[in-house]
Amino acid sequence: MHPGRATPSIAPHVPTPPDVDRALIERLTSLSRLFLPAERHEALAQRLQRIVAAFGSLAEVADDAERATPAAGGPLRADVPGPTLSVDEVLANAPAAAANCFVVPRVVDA
Amino acid sequence: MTSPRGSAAAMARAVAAGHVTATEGVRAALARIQQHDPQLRAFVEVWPERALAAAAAIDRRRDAGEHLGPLAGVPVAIKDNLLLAGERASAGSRMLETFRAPYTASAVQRLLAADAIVIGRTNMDEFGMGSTTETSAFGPTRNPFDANLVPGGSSGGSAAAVAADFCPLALGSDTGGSVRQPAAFCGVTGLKPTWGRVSRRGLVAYASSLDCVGAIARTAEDLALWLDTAAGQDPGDATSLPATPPVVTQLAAANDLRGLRIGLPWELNGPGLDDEVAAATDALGAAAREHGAELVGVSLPTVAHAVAAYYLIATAEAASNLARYDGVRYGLRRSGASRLEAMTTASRSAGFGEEVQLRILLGTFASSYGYEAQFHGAAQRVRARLAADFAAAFAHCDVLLSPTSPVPPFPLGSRRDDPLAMWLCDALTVPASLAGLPALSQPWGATADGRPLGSTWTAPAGREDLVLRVAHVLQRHSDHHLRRPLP
Amino acid sequence: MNAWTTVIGLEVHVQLATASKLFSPAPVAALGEPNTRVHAIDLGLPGVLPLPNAQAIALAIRAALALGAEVQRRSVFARKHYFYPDLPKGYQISQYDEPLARGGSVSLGDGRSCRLHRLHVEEDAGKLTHTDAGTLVDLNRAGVPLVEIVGEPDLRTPAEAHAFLRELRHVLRFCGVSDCDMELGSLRCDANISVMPEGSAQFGAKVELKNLNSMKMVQRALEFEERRQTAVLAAGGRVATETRGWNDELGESRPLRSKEQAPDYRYLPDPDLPALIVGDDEVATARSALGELPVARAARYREHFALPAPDVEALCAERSIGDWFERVLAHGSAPKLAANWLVAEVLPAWRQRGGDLDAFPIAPDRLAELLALLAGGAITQVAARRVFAHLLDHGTTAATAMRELGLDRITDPEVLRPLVQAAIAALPEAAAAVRAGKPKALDALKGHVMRSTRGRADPAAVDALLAAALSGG
Repeated sequence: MHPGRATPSIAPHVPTPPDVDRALIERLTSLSRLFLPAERHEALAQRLQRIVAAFGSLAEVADDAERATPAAGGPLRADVPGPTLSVDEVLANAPAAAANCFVVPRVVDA
Repeated sequence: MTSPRGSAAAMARAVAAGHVTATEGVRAALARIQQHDPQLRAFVEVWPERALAAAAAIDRRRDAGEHLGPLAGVPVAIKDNLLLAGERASAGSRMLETFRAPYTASAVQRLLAADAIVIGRTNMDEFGMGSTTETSAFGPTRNPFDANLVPGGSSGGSAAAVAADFCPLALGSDTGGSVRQPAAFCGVTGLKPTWGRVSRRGLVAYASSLDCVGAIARTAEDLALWLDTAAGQDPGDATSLPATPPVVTQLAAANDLRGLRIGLPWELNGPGLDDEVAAATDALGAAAREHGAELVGVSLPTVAHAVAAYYLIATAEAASNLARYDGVRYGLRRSGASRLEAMTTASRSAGFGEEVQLRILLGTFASSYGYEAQFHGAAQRVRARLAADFAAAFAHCDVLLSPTSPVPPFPLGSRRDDPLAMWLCDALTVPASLAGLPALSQPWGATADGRPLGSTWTAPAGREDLVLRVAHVLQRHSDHHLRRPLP
Repeated sequence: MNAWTTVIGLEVHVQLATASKLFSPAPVAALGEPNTRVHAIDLGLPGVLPLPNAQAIALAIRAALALGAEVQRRSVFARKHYFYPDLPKGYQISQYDEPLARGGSVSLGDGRSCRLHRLHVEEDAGKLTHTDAGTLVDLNRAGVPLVEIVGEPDLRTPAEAHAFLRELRHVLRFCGVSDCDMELGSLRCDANISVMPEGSAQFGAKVELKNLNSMKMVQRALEFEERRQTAVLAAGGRVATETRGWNDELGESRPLRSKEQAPDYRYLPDPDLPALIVGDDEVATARSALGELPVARAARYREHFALPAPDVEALCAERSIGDWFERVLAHGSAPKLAANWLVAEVLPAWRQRGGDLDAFPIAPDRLAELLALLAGGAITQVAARRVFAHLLDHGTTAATAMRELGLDRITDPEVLRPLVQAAIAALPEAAAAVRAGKPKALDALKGHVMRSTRGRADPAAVDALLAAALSGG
């Protein structure tokens, strides 16, 4: 429930086998909030390409098998409120705090 | 005996009987660490005040005739990814370099409840991602057998600490082999329990469906002692399993291996193995046969795809588990950015090392819309198939045997250029990880130039007792596990 | 002139009425100082693991049953990944392709209804406050249990959307699932709206509307969008598929800036959580906890008690009201009389005081006692209201209240005769008029006696005594 977050409605074009190109690298680094200087993109793309090539054939193996999925678990937690961290404990490792809140640079689409 | 060169079991008995005080034991351990660890860097941080205070408290209780726990007075090291309230835990990463834990991991709580004395945190590959402890942000750990060699990883510090006799027991974590392989590389014994057997609450997560808290010691008996205190349902971990019957008492009566069927999966025992590695495992198998075990050939066909499946699942889960490191609530923040997204990106890029970033990117790819079915999804199907392979194999045997690593310990810095080649060395350990099975690596044999070698026993889910028993019987009649690299 | 068809689908998030959060034991209380209701799990610290709340699941199951949805025996928690400072783990634990329930419907009245697509459980995010110096993050709300209800695009007018929300709120409040208070944020709504030419086989471009803070606002925003989209299409243009934020002050929607058209959430089944298995006994328990649904109760009140529609609506507004009403009936009151008093007296007094109806100062049996006195003629309507007010403040029985208020009817001639004499003496013209054959003048004399007894004199006894006093000489 956030401003600016549209629900997915269009599937991206899926090439087979996937081509680890600049566009894909940019999409992955953006999605994972990592920055790679431009000169490292090529090396990373090659690395990923090799890995993807080595792993890409998995889809043909066991394609009739069911996915391994989480097993059923034990009893769920009773709805009894318990102790919480104090405000000081919550903020103890905070890089920046004010007014008992974490502080971050102002969000862009606010 | 006052030095930490004895076993945990012996130490606990000695403390309980009053032959040695906990304080003496801890002092000896701390002195030894001070003398030898600067060369090895097994520890990221040692906690002498905490350890001595705990030891003094145990000595007081012993003198007052109070009941002491099964690990009373035993110095124990914990891996840098296990939280202890009030102390720093960095998971080998700059991202958490100054992070101080506000709570204690369940596995560590159980250690403390058993009256063990936690003496420090050990070095590891960053966030558990690596098999040499070279990706640690704080410098590598060296193999006590040869300072030019890697100790293995990611629990390299814990393995080195035990091999160097800094402490008889050290906790680690095993996601794809991270307890078993360093144990093998350092000539000590390492146990990865069934997934869920030991609570993961308070273990810095790498890949949740694969992470196991494990332990390293010289002897299987010590590992059984540990498991009996550590295992059991934890209301703080919804995936934790009930405890199995205590193992350590069963070991006393275990004298031989008659009736035990040992399966040798041909896919893990032949192709691509270093000759000396293969020979050492053959020798272990032969020794087992001498004690009455039967060897049978079995097959795990899906093992050929295990490394691929492992790395797709592990990296997808890692990318997920590491999404919380955004510089907002804790951990490294690179300030100076005026926009939030730039701050998060700068913080993560500065806080994570190269291997971690590579795995996050691969994991993001494997779980991304449009590729998920072909990569992460396919890996989960392969995983189910592999579990079926194991079940089929266990119809013909009780435990499986294979080398722990396809190669012997290798020099520091010699394999950093090709991640994929490095990943393929996990081929022998990842299958049991994917299937969630208990596995134990015991040292057996060495290369001609003295590098330790180890082999792994794998059992069906919940049967830690089997792998502990077979290793224990063999250790009773051999001394591979007693090779001490340091005076 | 083209005719247009509007298509509306709503996505509603409802906060479940639990004591603690969905995956942590931190309390869920309405207000609080920032970051005072944060457990380590909510903070997303390294090493924390989610612990599912049994009551949250039970309430979600109850919601599904109340809405006629099919509870899935097996559902899976999934991680939905995106970076935002109010999302501590960098992912929200929600459900993806294996939700808790599918199907169901919400009645719109007049025989129309809107189908539901699915219902699933998920955790809420924290709260951000934007200041010039930066954005402040408060995690009190992070981890609060929500149920997301996705309606099918069956709604055809903004008014229907409003009706949908009102009925959804009614049912979920009735069943104790949630407070459903949009002003307090325990019910939130995003709306999807598109316009197409009448008779078209394909829906038009869909616009998602956000920042809708009340049910009326939802309707206003949809009305605006409907007009806007229709105007664009009528002029031959194309409506952009986008997300727009509603600005209620300006009465318009504006496109929201979004970097990606289709965010990739990289859904993964959460490996820290076992699959949710709902057994037959759980469904049965939830169904019996559900009790009678409002529709069934309304029909019963209409048919069984022959109550008119406005009464039925008031009595069925909340489960506690009908339950209270039926307890009054159990003590022998007639349905219509009891309904009148509930609607006219009890409910207004209760709404003013707040709190649970069960804690209302007048218990159902006390009201029944008062109604019995009224029905039996021992007390007038006016006096009964005074007794009611007295009971509210003093909590006695009706009989005691009547005595304390001096409201018991006086029938004793020995008491009344002097008062009658006094009335005649005070109003000689009226007395003379009655003797002269003008019975209307009796009213003034009677009124005098009534006033002097503060309404307590029994009218029939006063009539008889007046007649006797005036018939003589």
